[in-house]
Formats: sequence, structure tokens, C-alpha cells
Amino acid sequence: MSGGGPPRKRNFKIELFKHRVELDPKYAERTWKVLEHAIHEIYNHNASGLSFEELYRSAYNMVLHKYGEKLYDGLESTMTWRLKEISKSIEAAQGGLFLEELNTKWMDHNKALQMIRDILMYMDRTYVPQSRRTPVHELGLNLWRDHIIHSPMIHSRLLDTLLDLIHRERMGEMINRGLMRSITKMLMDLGAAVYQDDFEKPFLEVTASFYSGESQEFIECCDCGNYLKKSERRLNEEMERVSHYLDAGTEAKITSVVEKEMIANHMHRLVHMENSGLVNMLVDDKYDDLARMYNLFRRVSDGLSTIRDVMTSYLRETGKQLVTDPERLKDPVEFVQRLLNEKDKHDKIINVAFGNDKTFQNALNSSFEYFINLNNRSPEFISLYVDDKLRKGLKGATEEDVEVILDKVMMLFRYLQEKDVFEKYYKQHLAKRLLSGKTVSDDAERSMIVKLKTECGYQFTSKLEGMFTDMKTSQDTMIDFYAKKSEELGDGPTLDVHILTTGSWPTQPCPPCNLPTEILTICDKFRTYYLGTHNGRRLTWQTNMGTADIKATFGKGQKHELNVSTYQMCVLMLFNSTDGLTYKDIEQDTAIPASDLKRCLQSLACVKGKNVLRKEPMSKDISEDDTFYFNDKFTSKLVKVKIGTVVAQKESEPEKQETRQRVEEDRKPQIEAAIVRIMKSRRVLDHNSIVAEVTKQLQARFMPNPVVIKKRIESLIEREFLERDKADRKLYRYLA
Amino acid sequence: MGGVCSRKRSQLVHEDDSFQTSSRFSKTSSLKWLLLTLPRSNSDVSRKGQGKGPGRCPSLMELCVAKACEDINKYSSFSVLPRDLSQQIFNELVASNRLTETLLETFRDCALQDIDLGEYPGVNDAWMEVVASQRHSLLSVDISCSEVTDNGLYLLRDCPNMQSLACNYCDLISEHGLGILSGLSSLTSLSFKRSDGVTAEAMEAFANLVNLVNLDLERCLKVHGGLVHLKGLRNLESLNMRYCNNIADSDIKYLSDLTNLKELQLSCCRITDLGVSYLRGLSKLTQLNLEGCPLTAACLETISGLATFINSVLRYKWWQFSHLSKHLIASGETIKTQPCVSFPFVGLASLVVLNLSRCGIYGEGCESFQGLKKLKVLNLGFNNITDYCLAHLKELINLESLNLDSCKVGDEGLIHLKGLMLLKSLELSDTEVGSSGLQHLSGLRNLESINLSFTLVTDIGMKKISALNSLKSVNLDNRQITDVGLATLTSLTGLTHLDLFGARITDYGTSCFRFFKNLESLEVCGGLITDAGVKNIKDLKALKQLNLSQNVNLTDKTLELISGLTALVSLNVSNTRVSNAGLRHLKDLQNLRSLSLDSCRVTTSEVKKLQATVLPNLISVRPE
Amino acid sequence: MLGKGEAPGHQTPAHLHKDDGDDDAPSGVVKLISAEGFEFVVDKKAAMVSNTLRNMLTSPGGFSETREGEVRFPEISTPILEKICQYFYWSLHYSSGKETSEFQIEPEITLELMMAANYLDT
Repeated sequence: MSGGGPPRKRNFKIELFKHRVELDPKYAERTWKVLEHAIHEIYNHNASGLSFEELYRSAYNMVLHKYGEKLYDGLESTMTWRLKEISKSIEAAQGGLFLEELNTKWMDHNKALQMIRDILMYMDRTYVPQSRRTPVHELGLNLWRDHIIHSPMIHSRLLDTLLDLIHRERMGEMINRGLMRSITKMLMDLGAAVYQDDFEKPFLEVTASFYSGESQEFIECCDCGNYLKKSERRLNEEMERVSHYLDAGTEAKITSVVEKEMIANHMHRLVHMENSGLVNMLVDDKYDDLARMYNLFRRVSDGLSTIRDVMTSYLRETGKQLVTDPERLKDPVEFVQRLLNEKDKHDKIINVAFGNDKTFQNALNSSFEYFINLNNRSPEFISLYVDDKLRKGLKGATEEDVEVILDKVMMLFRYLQEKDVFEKYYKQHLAKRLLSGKTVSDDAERSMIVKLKTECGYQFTSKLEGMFTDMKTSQDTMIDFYAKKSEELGDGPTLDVHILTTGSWPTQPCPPCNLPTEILTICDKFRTYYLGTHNGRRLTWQTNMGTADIKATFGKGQKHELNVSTYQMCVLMLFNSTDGLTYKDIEQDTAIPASDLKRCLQSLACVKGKNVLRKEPMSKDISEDDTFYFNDKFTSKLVKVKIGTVVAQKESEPEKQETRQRVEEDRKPQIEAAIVRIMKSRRVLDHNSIVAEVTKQLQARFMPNPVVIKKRIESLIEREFLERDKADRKLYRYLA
Repeated sequence: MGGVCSRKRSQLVHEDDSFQTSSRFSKTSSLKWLLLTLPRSNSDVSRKGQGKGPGRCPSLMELCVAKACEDINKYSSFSVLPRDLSQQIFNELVASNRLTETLLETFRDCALQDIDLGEYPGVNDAWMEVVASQRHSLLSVDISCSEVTDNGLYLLRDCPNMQSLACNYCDLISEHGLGILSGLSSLTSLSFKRSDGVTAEAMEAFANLVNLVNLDLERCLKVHGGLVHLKGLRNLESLNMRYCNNIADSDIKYLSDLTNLKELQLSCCRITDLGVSYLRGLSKLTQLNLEGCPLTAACLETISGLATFINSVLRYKWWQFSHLSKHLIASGETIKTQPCVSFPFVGLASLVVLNLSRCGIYGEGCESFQGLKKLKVLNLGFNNITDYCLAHLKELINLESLNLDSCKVGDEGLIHLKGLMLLKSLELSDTEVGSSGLQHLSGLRNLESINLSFTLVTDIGMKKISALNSLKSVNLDNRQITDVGLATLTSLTGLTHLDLFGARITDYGTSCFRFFKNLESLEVCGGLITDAGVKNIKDLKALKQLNLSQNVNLTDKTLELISGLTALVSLNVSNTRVSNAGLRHLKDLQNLRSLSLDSCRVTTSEVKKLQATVLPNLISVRPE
Repeated sequence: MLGKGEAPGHQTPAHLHKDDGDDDAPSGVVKLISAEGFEFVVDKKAAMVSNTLRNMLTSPGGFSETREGEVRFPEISTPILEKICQYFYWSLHYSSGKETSEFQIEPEITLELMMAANYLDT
């Protein structure tokens, strides 16, 4: 653009217009003076008299005529001079007006900078990129930074003012947040480095020492719950502060400072705090406090593991006490119920306060697994608990309630290491329930079987299911028997036979006792019928099981229906023909095994309200010299009298040993099968690996004992399934 | 498949076009120019702005520049114009191929700053006079592929402010010409691709260029022994010596102090582990290309900085052995070298891009990859990498691109890639990967490109990748893939590239194509497609590349069907029944630049006629 | 499309004041005055096609141009300024997506127009 040059002609020829050769050596100086004056006027709020076009054109021409450098340098020094003036006025501001003044001047500078950038746009567009200098806007910010923010008189005063205001706010004073916002925004506008170095870093340091002091004070005088409440409030305050007037990037940093000072540094003291620490919160179900602790501690490293560790050791300790307390062992149902309550309690805590944290659930599970197996009667007790529930406990409960209870039991079952022991007991208990017709709900029974099956597989439950099948088949058989033979049978006693498949039931071989003739007759008829339809089978009467309903008439003619066991029936029937019998007589006539007979007699003669027999001499226990009489003075308000056998619900010590032994016997073939399976695929394996693999395969059912495994290996070697390696005795080879 | 249709992978090292701008086509060897370069006429403002098609409104400046170029003959000099404006006119003349030696005179003494005449036809010493007349203003010059000689280059001595000089492929510049460079000490960027003038002696001139940031000596075959002169160039950030195949370990020693280096390209140099060990101090290095160098995995220790002395000695034994048996050519030299690792290294843990393709690396030592946590691009193609090695890539969670082409990896190995959530590109071509391995990839939500060609993957495998909606490019060139597999992928509507070259896709399967509306390239060459199948291709308006060769039943009807695909740049219908009569259907394909009609029923003369009369942009035609 | 003043120095400032320096709303008109004093009244929206004019009309602080709604160009001749105004409207038309004929530039003014385009950053 050739300003003021000769008028151009319209007819176009190439050489016509000449690039203006600058004749006036003072051109550049003169033009710059115009611009310099304008810059001052802009800072003086006097721009209204200026022509944008003229200024833009002046700058444009300077750049075009290669005075870009002069223009740029001039701008830089003019602006620097102005900023030094400004810095003086800011420095002079008194007390609280300091920030106000800084902010006002910053606004002014920003506006001036924008105007200056606009008129120097051409320089920004061409000269700046070519000569790799800083664009005008950025230059203006840099100069502000260097001459205002970093001015020795302002730098520390600004920081102190800001930190003081924040401190006052922390102490509860109201401060001008808008002004704070403006100032911090200015620092951010000047670049991340300025904000961080000149404000954020010292701010974080001051914050750290503030909370270091405050947390020390709190921890000395507050209980754990209160301390956590205060920490939480402080943390929220800091986050709110960031959202109001600090850079969003500060939030993570400031919270980590507060977390470190308030939480991480006092973590251990807090959880262990006497009378208010974690254990107390767990005991008292302080959901709010626990949730607060969880949410605060999760913010710091090792926070959650600290809570978890304390919770775990607390659980293990209380659990251990629970399962080893001899008082508790007296009532298995109560024992299991307590375990379930304990589990429910902590499930709820984890759910409500710990956000269902998987790691906490795992800790809870591993704790239960740990202490449940400390008591080797746990499998038996859990089975007894189920037995109790399925006998009576579930009466009146809805299907859903049943499911809930069974699911809880299954949860305990999962913790058991010796699942095969449970199986053994469960089978016994189930058999008793089925044979004595004590099951309340067939659906509930089957539901439990399904659960066990899902948990442990088909093998585990096939025998249990066999028991149900037997029950059903027996029912059908009996209907058929009576349909075909009713006329033959006449008025004799009604027989109800359960045909039990050998092996499915926990029956011990037991010599049959002598049955009363009436019964024997009908039993023989049934045997003939049954063997007639089922070729090649054998029937053995299990007289140690079974019940009988008998009608009895006592002294004053009162009639009662007695519900008794097979043995009891045999005993009572003897009294139809005689009044008094000695123990020896009874034993001889019935051939009932002595221990059973004693219990049988005890229940008939020694239980108040059920004493249909009278014993001489009177005593609590049965001795072999006793004599028994029909008790015609027997009275009862009930027409039907149920005379149970005196049974220890819980197994007695010798019984327990026996069950234990049976379990061990059962384990042998399982261990052997596992060894063979492993060796078949691996061919050669060393001892330790076999033990490890067998344990791995079987641990779903029980924890095999390494000594037992070793014995099984020896046995397999004897039977030439395996051989020892000739060179390395630790190695085994699979044969065949 | 016959000779024409078997696609042999070029045994040449392929250039990483993604990391440098492609050069134009005339003398360079890259085969990808076809799609990546545009003819100069396309940048003509009058076409860009005014005339057909929407677009950004041309500025008044652009309109004036275009107008000035249009009337260029009316001007005798632009020296009176401000420099910026004459520069714009100059650039436009170059871009539109209108600059001639005569017109160049107009720009004498115009104080131009940039003169980019790279690959411009006819540039010789006479042009250099005007170039040099810009004197102190001149900042950058590109005379690549020109006829300029030592004399022309010598004129640049008047331009001492020059910051950037490119003399690639200038065959007439000899080692004597390079002497001038020593005076151009402002140079920050210097490029002398494929120059015989760059000899060990001539490189002495480089020693003076202390401001140099970028140096490109690709394909200079006489630099061996000259790198000693680079020793003092401490500002160097990028050094390209690809295919300088006389570079040996002894040369690399001189790079060990160039600690500002960020990018180093050494593909196909004769560098062994020893050479790599000299790089251990280059802690700012982010890109390292060692493709085709005779290395072992032991060099990774240098690279990752995880080495310990004992490891290295053990591996050295093994390494000797592998070289004896596998790399006889290199063995003579490598056996003599010392164990490359003798103390823990600072390491090159800053690497972002690492190319070790075709280095003949075995698995041993791959654990060192673990240290390269910043890696985004890793090329291990054509090495003896096994599933076991992949375990060591597990930690490289920043990886975005992984190339395992022709490695010994299978289904088992892919499990280690499961956690590489940022992976965008995965190359598994020619590996033993099968369908079951793909399940490990089904969580890679960012995957954009996957190559499964020549793998054992079958239709069943397609289900595993069908949920990866981010996929844009899929290569399924193998015979096990059929219509069934393709149908599984119809949810991948973002696909832009689909290669079904050898897959057994029938006309029935082509109906799946309608789900891929964004396809830009498509190859279906399994031989089973007829004209009926092409009906499903005709609406893929975004297609730029289409390969339907080997489908012997295709007729002229096919050309008629695809006549509306006006975006097509490349079309291949070789080995079909296309005839001369069908060629007329191609007249609307104005963007077509490559056309293959090998073994079709067409005559060369008809094809030539087509090229001359209606398809002026066609550059590559087969048969020639 | 563009008003052209009759004589140099003719001023009609009164009705042009209505939006002085309102930042974003490019409503209203602005008067552009050539070196010879010819006045061109154009829509602000059109004038703002030029980055220089856009900055001039939106800059804070109230330069005289924003207050008075007119800009004097002592170094742009009438025919060039006229051509530039034509370009402003041509550009608006083009950007609206409508069919637009080529913008004609007479060879003899090309370079001068180019200088002005550079000055106005358009």
C-alpha cells in the first residue's frame, strides 16, 4: 500500500506502479511515534480519539517496509514501561485494596492488550511467525508476568494475601470469592507454570502444615467417628473451594494433601482407637461411621487394606471363640444359627457401609472358612441344623423363606473343608427324616438336594436321590400289595414297608430281632409278594428302624394309641401275655441288641408321661436286674401318645468316632481314584506333585491328608498300579 | 492361483509412510504415490474455489493470485511487490505447473523466502541464478530431482541465511559440489536422498552445520566412514540413513553423543547388536527404525535398558549360534564382535516407535520389551517371535500399533494382547493364529485395523471380532473365509477397507456389502463373483479402490454397473471377460488414476485411446 | 448492493450511530470512504468478511471508527474499494451455498487489488 503516493492511472501496464522507495529517512521513527502515542492513549483510556485504520495502516506499512523489528521492539519497551508504572500503583495500594487494585489493573491491561493486538494484527500475521517471535497477546501476558507478578514488591505480597484469605476462610470467615476467582484466573491465564509455581505449590505446602496441625489436635480430643466426620467436612470444603475459585486441576492435588495429613498419617491410630475404633463400630453396627471410614480410607493407599486387615483379625478372633466355646457345642442348632447371624450381620455391614466391596466379601469368606473348620464337628452341626429346619422349623414358612434359609446353609457348607463328612451326616439325618415320616416339605428336601448337586455335582447327591426314589417306589409297592392281597390279609395289622436299596442308605448290618407273630405273618406275606414280582432280590428286615402304632387299654379302661419304634413294639407286645418280665427275659425274647434295648426300655419306663411300663426298682437308668410291669395306672391327656426313643440328637463320642472312621474309609477309594486318574495322564510324577494334584482334585470335597495319600500310593504300588522309578525313588511310574 | 493373481509380498523393506510425508512420484521408489499424491494441477485455486463443487469460499487474495498467474505473461517483474505477495504468486505458479524458465525471470530479486522446486520438471543450473538472486532473503530451497549440477549448487553461496535445503535424487551433484554447504551454517534441515555425492570425504562439509536439526541421507551408499563428521552436530534431532547399506557398527559409534536425537532411521544398514549398543545414551530417542538389520533380541537390552551383565553373557553364546545357522551372510562380521552388553544401560526407555521388522530376532531376550513402557508403535514382523515372547508385551499398555506379520505366534500368544486396550492396529498376517485365538481380542475396543490374511482363521472366528465397532480396516484374505463369515461382520458398519482377496465369497455373500456404506477400498478376488454380485457393489459410492480381478465370469456388464462409482481412483478387473466394448462405461470415472485390465479381452490401442480421450488423470494403465 | 456517495466529503453521520461497537451482532451498516472521498455504505455483515474490518469494528475501547460507523481508507482508491465491496457481497453469496458466478477481476487492477486484499486480510 503506497500511502500518499502519486495517483494511479486506470490503464494497466506492468511497470506502472512502483513500490514506494522510502525517501524520508525519518519515516520509521515518525510512524512509530504515532503508534507509541496511541499505545499510551490506550492505557490512559483515551482511545476514543484514535483512528483504528490509521494505526493499523501505520503498523502495516512499517512491517511491509521491513521495520517489523523496530515496531516489535518498540511495542515491547513501551508496554514494559507502562507495566512498570502500573506495578508502582499496585504496590502503593494499601492493605485490603491491594488485590482490588491488582485485579482492576489486570482488567485494564487485558483490554489494552486486545486493542493493541488488533491494530498490530498484520505484524502478528507476518512478521511474528517469520522471525519466530512471541505473538503480541502472549507477549503482553509474559510482560505482565515478569513486571507485575514477579515484581519483588508484589510477588510475595500477592502470595501471602491469597494464602491469608484462604486461611481465614478455613477458619470460618467470609471472603470475597469473586475477587479470588479473578486473581487465580489471571494466574492461570499467564500459563500453567505461573499458577503452579507462584501459587499452587506454596498453597499445597501451607495446606499440608495446616492440616498436619489440625489433625494432631483432632486426634487428641475426638473419638474415631467424630474425627472422621471432621475430616470428611474438611475434604468437602477443600473440593468446594477448588470449584469456586481454583483451577480444576488443583482438586486432585489438594485432596491428596488433605488425605495424607488427615487420613494416611493417622490411619492406624484411628482404626485401633480405644472404645471407638473399627472393632467397636463393627460390634455396634455403626453403618454411617463405617461407611465414612471406608470412603475416606479408600482415598489413600493401603487405606482399605488397613480396614480389611483389622476386620479380618476381628472376625477370626470372634469366630474362633464362637466355634470353640464348649457351651455353644451343646446346642448344634443354636451354634449354626449364631454363625448365620454373624454372617448376616457382616454381610449387611459390607453391603451398607463398604459398598459391597469384593475384597471385603473375600475377607469375610476367608475368615469364615478359617474358623468354621477349626471345629471338626461343624459339618455335623450344619447337617443337624438343616435337619432341625426340615423337621419342624419350616412349618408354616413360605417357599421363599425356605429358600433363604437353605441358601444361607449352603453358604456355610461352602466354607467346609470336609464336605464328605457333611455328606455322611446329611445322609443319616435324611434317612431318619424319611423313614420316620418327619419331613415337613418334600419340596424343601428336594430343593436342598438340588443345591448340593449344583455345588458338588451329581456324585455327591446320587445316593441321596436314591433315597427319595426308594420312598416313592415303596409307596407304589404298598398300594399294589394291598390291592392284590387285601382279601388274604383280613383284619391283621396294617403293614407299611419301606424298601431301601442297599448302599443308598446309611444302614448298618444289624441282626433282626424277634418280631411278634402277628407282624411276622404279614411280613412273610409281603416277602412272598415282593419276591414274586422282583426276581433275584433279597429282603432283610431292618428292625432297628421303623415305627408302629399300637392300641392299648389301661387299668381304668382308658384307651390310648401309642406311637412307638419297632423295638418298643416288640417289647410291649410281650406284655400281652404276661404282667412282669425281667430285663433278661425281654432280651432273650426279643433278641434286641443290648444298647438298643436299654434305650428302648428307658423310654418306655423312665419318661414321665410316657411310662407305659413300670420298672422295679424305680430309677433313672436301666440295669440288667430290673423287672418291668405293664403300668395300668398310666394316664395321659392325649389319646395319641408318641413314645420316642431316648436318642442323643447329637452324636455321642463313640458314634462320632465311628462316623469319622467311615468317612476315612470312604475317602480311601476316592484318593486312589484320583491318584490313578492323575498318573494315567502324567505317566511319571514325583511324590510332591502327586500330593499337590490329588489335593487340588479333591479339595472341593475334603482336604486329603498327605499321610493318607502316601499310604494310598504305597497300596497302589503293592497292587502294581504304580512302580517306583529305579533311579529316582521319589518318582512314580504308572503301570498297565 | 496363477501368476497374475498370486500376490507376492515385496521382499523390499516397505517405507513407513505414516511417519513421513510421501515424496512425489517421479524418481522415488515408493509405490504408494498413487493414492497419496495429487497432481499439481489439483491445487489450482480456480478449481479449488470457483467453478464446480462446494467448498471454502476463496479469499480475495487467492482470487487475485490466481488472476495474476493467469495473466502472468503480462508482467515483467514482481520485484516491486511486497515479498509475501510475490511469494504467493510464485507458489501458485509452481503448484499449477505453469512456471517456466522465462517466467522465473519475473521473480529475480524478489526477496523470496521459499523456493520449492522439488520434482519440478526442467529445473537446471540456469534456474539457479534466479534462485540465488533472492540472496539474504532465501530461507528454504528444494531442488530435488533436478538437473542442477555442482555449478548451480555453487550459486547458493550468496544465500547465507538458508535454513532448509533439499537436493534429493540430484544425480548431477558430485562430492565436489557439497563443499559449498560448509558456508551455509544457518541450515537446520538438509536432505540429500540417494546422492552419490555424499561421500565420506564430502561429509566433512557437514561438520560446520552446527545448527542442523534434521538430516536425511537415505540411500546414500557412500557415507561409510563419513559419520565421524556428524559427531559435533549436537542439535541433530532427526537422522535418516535408511538403506545406507554400507553403514556398519563402527559408524554408529559417532552417533553416541548426539543426545538430542529423537528419530533415527537405520533400516537395512549393516548394524549388529554392537552398533545398537552405541545408541544407549540417546535418552531422548522416541523413534528407532532398525528394520532388516542383522540383530538379535540381545540388542533389546540396550534398547530397554534392563540388562544385567550375567544375562547378556549367557545370551551371547546363544546369539553366536543363531547367527551361524541363520544368517550366514552376516556371520563373518558378527561373530568377531564382542558381547554387546557389559553393564546396565541408561536405556532408550523413551522410545515411542520401534521397528525391528526382518531383523531375524529369536524369542530369547524378549523380556527386555517390558522396559519400553512408552512404546506406541512396535513392528516385529518377519522375526522368529513366538507366543512366549508375546508375554513380555503384556506391560506395553500404551501400544497402539503392533505388527507380528509372519511371526511364529498362534492362538495361545494372543492372550497376552488382551490388556493392550489402546491398540488400534494389529497385523497377524501369515501367523498360526486361528479362530479360537481371536476371542482374546474381543475386548480391544479401540482396534481400527486387523490383518488376518493367510492365517488359520475360519468363519467361526468372525464372531469374536464382530463386536469391535471401531474397526475400519479388515483383511480376511484367506481361503477359509466364506459368505458365512462375512455375514457375521455386518455389524461393522464403520469399515472403510475390506480385503477379501482370496476369500470364498459368492454372489450371495456380496449382499453383505450393503452394510458397509463407508467402504473406500474393497478387494474380492476369490473367483466366484459374477455380474449379479457386482450389483451389490454399485451403490458403494465412497469406493476409491476396487479390485475384482480373477473373477473370470465378469463381463462388460460389470463395468456398466460400476460406472456410477465416480470416486474410484484405482480399478482392477484383470482376468475377467471385460472387452473393448465395455470400456465406454468408464468415461465418468474422472478420478481414475490406475486401471488394470491384464488378460482381458481388450486391445492396448483401445485402452490408450480411452486414456488419451476421456480419462486424462489416468497415470498407470495395464496392459501397457 | 452497495450505496455510493455522490461527492467527496458528503457526510450523513446521524443515522449511522445506532449500534456503536456492539460486539457480536453484525447488524446495521458501516460507511467505507475511499482515498478520493467516495462513500460506500455496506452491511456490517459484509464488511466483516475482511478480518481487518472485523477487528476494527469489534475491538474494545471505542476507536473512532466504531463510534462514528465509518472507516476512511486514504490509501485505497475508489475503483479498488468498489471492487472490494463487490467481493464482500460475492463472498457472502458464495458462502450461503447458492450458485455463484465467477468473481471477475480486471487484469489492470489485479496487483493493486491484491495489495488491498493483503491490507484488509480478506
